[in-house]
Amino acid sequence: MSMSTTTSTEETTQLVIASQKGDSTAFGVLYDQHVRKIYDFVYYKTMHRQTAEDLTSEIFMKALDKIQTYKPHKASFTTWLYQIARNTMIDFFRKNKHHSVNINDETIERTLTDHSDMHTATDAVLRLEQVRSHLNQLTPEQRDIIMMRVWQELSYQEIAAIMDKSEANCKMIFSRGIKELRRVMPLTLFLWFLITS
Amino acid sequence: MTLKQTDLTVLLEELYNIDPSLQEHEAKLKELLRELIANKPDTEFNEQFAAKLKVLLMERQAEQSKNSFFSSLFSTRSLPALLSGAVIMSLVLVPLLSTNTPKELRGSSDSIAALFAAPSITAVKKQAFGELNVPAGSSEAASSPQGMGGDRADQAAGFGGGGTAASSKMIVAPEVTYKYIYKGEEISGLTDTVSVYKRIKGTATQQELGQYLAGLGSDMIDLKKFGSTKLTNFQLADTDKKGYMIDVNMEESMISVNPNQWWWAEQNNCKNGICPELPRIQLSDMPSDEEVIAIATNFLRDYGVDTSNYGQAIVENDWKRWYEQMENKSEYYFPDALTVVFPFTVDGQTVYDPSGRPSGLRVNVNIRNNTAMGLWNLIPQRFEKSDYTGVTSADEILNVVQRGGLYGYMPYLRTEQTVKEVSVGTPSQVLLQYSDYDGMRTNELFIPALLFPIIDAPKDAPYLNTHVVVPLVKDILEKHKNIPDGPVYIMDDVKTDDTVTTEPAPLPEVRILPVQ
Repeated sequence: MSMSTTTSTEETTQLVIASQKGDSTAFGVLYDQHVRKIYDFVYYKTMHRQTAEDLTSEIFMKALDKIQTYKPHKASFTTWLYQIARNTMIDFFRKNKHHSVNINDETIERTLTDHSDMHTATDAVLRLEQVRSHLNQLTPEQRDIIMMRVWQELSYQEIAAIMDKSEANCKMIFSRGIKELRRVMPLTLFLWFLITS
Repeated sequence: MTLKQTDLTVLLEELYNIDPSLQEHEAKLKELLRELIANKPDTEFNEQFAAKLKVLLMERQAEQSKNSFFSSLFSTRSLPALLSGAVIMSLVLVPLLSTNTPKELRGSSDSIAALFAAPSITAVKKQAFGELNVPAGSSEAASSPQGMGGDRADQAAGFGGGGTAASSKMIVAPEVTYKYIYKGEEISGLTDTVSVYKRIKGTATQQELGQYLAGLGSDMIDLKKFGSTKLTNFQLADTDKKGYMIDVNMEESMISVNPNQWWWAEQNNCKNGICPELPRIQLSDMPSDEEVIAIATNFLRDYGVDTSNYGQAIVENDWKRWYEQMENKSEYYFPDALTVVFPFTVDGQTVYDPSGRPSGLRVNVNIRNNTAMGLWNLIPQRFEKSDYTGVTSADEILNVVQRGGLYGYMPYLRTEQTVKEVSVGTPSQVLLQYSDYDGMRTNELFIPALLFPIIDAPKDAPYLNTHVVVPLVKDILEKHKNIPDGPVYIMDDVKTDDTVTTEPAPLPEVRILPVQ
């Protein structure tokens, strides 16, 4: 067999074209390359595994249904996929206004299990909740950009394409979000140092 | 999560470039960013969820392209031109799964056809197939050079010294054993990373078909009571042409075609299960390789099997070696069927089995009527590809060569034992078809290996293989390195446990001697 493998990003466009022609294996490769990133993106915004899985499924179904509309010259496939993800999240939060980004019971249980000592385990859960609550005090844009930059390690260029903003604007939003966190966190950090010292 | 200093430095530099005044708060910013990074959530990513979603997406895509598939199928274009790979599948399954199929099966037909039609290689993460060094006792074995086998899991480590109680499965070492001596060029070109291919088998539509068939109902038994079921294989009979049986193994993603024994019995005038004795095949009746390959190739072409993805066809001609060994050649029974192998090729490399024979699509040809009797091992060539650590030591490789390959023998010396030398030449790089059992399931892997040709062997050893194969995946070589996978022999000075009965192994080449 003479088929060659396609894994590099510059060949993503070839995969998309093949997928637009109905090649299911090509879409499968695209899926493998992106499913983790998209799932993590959704999880960071919902902090709930089941919800993240449901929404990830919805996002990829939409991507498959819309694959014929994707134009390589307009944006990278990754960016296009993230845009679908972000729009899906906006719709989700619009319909579920009561949904808050809090740690759930499963996360608590897992965090407690990860630590052998109950004292440090409880402390870890508290810190986790603190970080979550601080992020909740940011604007959605600030929160999104901080999570994409710090947790998903996306570049500002990628973030700008996803958010449909300029790079400079995204950097400014990131900076303001960090300043806001710095403003609300010092007292908490001080307390944390007291508890752990 | 471990915070890399570079991550923190990069983030801080970015912030200072955006707003230089933030430098005044560097200490607090460092703590803040450390806290953010350290509390990056574990997203609980579930591989099973991802795999299931992928299957749903593939089936959805197949459903979306169904209309164009069926319209092109029933156009004036010929079927072989439309589909590559196993068009046999389309001949038998597409009429069955037409647009009149119940709704719950509408996605299945294209999924099945797509499964058997499209060769592919999908790259996955490094070491995606898990550890490949599960203990040798749990692996499937290939046939050994002398046809010896044995239950490897039962074999005790009785080599290297005495004092070990002998297992009832141990056998006495043969009088003659072989030592493989390398006579080729320096082994080079070894790399520390190699690509391992895993064949993709099975399909989610097995579940759909299983549920549908179980739901059809029966007055004799309620199949739905068995809960979730899946279709693992089915058989079709062609009764009006050449009398073939088509077996479709969905679990293994394999098609085989065999003669319908009843139809062929009728053709050969068999009555009440008794067939007239057929005249013995003579040497002059044996066709040339070219003739046999032509029969096999025409058979495949007639049924729309595309051989362009296979290597050069070869005929398995072991009979010639055995015939040459016969002292009284007039007593030799020539085979009335020969097998043609169309070797698999993956990423341009030919595939071999552990005994050094090409592995691939097999077609049986009946010598008496010059007809192909069937085929076996027709598989969709769909693989995942993952990088593993390669073997870089030529010495390690030659150690395995010396004993005749992965499943060779350690030449335990007995006072009566004769060691004969076999010369092997410069190897070529190939792929080895290897079964890796991880304790729950068998993965069919295709791993890089070196194929050493035997260039000189004792004339009285027709049962030796023609090649020695040594894998180039470090995990697999490690697994087989110290434990020979052939039988373990009783040493002359090993005391046996009185409670254990040593039974002779039923092997014609070995003469059983009493244990001292």
